[in-house]
Amino acid sequence: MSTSRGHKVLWSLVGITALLLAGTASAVVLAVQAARTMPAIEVQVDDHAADHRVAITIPAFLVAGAAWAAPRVMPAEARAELEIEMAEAALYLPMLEQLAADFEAMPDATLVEVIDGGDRVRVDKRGGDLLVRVRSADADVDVRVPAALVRSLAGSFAG
Amino acid sequence: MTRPNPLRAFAGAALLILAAAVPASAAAADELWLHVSVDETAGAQVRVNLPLSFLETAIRMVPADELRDGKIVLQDAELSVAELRTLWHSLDTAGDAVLVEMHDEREHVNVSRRGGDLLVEVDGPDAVEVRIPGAVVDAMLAGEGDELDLAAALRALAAAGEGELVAVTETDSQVRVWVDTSPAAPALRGR
Repeated sequence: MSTSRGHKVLWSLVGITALLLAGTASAVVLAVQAARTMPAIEVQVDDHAADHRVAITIPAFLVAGAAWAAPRVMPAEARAELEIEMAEAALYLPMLEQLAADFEAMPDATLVEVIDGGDRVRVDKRGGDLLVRVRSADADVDVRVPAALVRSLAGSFAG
Repeated sequence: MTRPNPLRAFAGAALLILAAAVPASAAAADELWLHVSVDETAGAQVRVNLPLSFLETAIRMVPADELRDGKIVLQDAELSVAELRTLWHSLDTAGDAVLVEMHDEREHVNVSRRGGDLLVEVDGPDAVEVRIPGAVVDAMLAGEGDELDLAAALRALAAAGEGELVAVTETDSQVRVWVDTSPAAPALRGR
């Protein structure tokens, strides 16, 4: 009788553990998938002179988190200056939000292209992203900024 | 009482959806783009392609003391905006007219109003042709005081449709500014 009860408790524990593991695994899979599909600012710099390459990917939640946290952890003096700057910027935030929305809505195109000697700069709109590509003898730079991220940040700051 | 015909109801709904969708897609296809092209024979090549509607929003964001909400205030100019406005409107009754004509050994400069448009033509070693649709000048001068309404000018430019606005041909460079429905400009050399 006691063995049977022990088995029941054991199987219950196994079941609960399996459920918890399955739930955790699903949450991890969903989080990874969300992180992969989440808009992110990407910067790649290939410095020919120093012969090194830097690639930085900043996910949207980090940008939003940093924007939220920075004023709370910075010194009071710097925070006061930032608040003044933000008050001025607040006038432009709804326009920036609208500009990002207009940018998302426009068809894909090369917006700016410059060739000057060996230097080339190209600014493209591809999908919802602003792509900046610089090619020069010193360095190659690639930047990708999702307009949705700019729109969302401008919207959240505009309140 | 007649029973509703499901096929007819479906066709009606489809037509309604199409009617709502077609103008939107047509508007997107007819989006006008402002193009700037600079070609220096031995120097830089530049292409800028931007939708006029996007420019109208962007111009409101330019943080300058003289530029607020897409309107620029010109101060200390030799010819004030108010004087420019009076001059431009005085031409409404005059119709087509030559406003300025200068001629010297090297070049001939002609500023005129033709077919409602403002034309600036320079004929000489460097050839310059600037055409600003009359409606754009009207919109730009529609503000008050010494204020030029650039955002309204861009809206009027979009309403005016496709066309060449500026063509400058110098011995070592060419500059063109035009409006059309294509997002692409002519390719750069050496691409």
